[in-house]
Amino acid sequence: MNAKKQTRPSTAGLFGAVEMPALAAVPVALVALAAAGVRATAGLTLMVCALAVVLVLASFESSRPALRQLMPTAVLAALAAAGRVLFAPLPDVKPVSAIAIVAGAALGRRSGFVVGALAALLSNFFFGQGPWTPWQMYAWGLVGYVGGILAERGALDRRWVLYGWGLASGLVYGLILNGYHVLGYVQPLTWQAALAACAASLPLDVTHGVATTGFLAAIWEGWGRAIRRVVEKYDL
Amino acid sequence: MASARPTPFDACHAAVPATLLAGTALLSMLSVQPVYVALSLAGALTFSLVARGGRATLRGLRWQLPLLALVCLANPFFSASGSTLLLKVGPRSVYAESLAYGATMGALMVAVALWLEGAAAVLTQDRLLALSPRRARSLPLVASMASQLLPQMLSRARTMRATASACTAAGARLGLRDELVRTSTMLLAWSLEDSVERADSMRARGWESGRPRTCYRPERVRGCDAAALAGIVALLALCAWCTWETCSGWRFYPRMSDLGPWWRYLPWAVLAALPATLSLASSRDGGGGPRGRA
Repeated sequence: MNAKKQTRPSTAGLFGAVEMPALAAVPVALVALAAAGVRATAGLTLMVCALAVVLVLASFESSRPALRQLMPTAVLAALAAAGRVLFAPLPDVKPVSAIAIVAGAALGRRSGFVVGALAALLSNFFFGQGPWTPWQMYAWGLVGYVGGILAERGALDRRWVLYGWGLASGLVYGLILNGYHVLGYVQPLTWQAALAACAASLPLDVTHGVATTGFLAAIWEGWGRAIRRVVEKYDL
Repeated sequence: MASARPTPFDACHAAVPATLLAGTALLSMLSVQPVYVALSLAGALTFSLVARGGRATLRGLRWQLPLLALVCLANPFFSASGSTLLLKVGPRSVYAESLAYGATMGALMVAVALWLEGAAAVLTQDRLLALSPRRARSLPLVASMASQLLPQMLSRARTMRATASACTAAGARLGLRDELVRTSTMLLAWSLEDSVERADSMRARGWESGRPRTCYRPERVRGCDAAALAGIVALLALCAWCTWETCSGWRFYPRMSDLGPWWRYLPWAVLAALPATLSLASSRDGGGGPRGRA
């Protein structure tokens, strides 16, 4: 029993140590496989992406959060998914990134990742699952994870950093989703083709980033107050 | 918990359809070759028709077919390469090989989407969560809570907006932005308070006590499930070998290679047809019926 208890911190530490390398391995694998001209890049990078998502989720699991801490994560994930469904008529205007950043800031980076990843998974039950689901889970999870890291360092107290990451998150999300499609599904790949694809999607990614910044500006204060009130009321 | 409506594969452990469908989808993603992709698409389409019904499949195809066309046309547009010139659009040449690659990747994307949609119809959320390791406690709980909260939140958001718009005593109407912020903040506070109370209620029923609450498992692996799993894994391994042999010699550019011996496609055809065949067989046995829950 004691031995079991002693293994938990080491397991959590192990998973915690591989989180960032796992997240960084995805773009590295994507570029490396595409540069090597591997035809099954789409499938292989999907496996790397899915593995990275599983590792970060396993890290969240091994951190053994208390039941009362788990519930806000579930609520924010459901809210993010509901927000994506409610804003479906407006292309690229989605509150998912903003809610993932709020979750990362309020509950920690792992919770930020879980909120972003689960929001993508759950909302795709409405929009359709596909090979893009793990990539969306990774991209929105990453947005929440980085939001959590920035909050841990106190950077999100400065509004320009908060809005800057909100704007950049749209571009990062677009880069990951475009990268997966262009590097995995277009062959033979040239720099011109990759740049043309990025340029074609730039207006949509900028819209996503601006919308995320707008959502952050709208909810950061109000939601922060609501979360703080619940934290104080229930002594979380 | 057994689902109210019988679904295919109800008669076997969830690990059997999960392994079959996940393995087929994964192998499809790794088999970038026109014949394999066509077989996968045909199998996925048939399985979707059987598992989800014609109407749901057609509703999905309304966005999947344009997606296929988009991916198909994007490749020659972004990357003009090949040896068989089909036409010239302005300064851009469209080659048959480039178009074939795009069509293959588009069909692959749609096939995987159809496999996953079919899997979602067959593997209910309860059955999927039951597959999670017993030591995993937090993530299955968060996933299951969030999926149950999602429809509740959509319904609560509609209720709150309807109430606010019907209440003439609440003062002047808010602008769209303020209305959205108010609705979402109320929704958040409402759901957070609910969730904390739910957590306390769960703790009162034994969660976080440090001891297993129950040894009950809704599904247990029986001998026939183990045999089915072994058969599926063997078939997947055979398909992986055949796919590797074929795909390693296959080239799209500059000219598409020969398709290779026909027998290398046989295991893959069996694998692609297996989910629909098993679903049809189970529906002929009276919908499969929920398996004997242990």
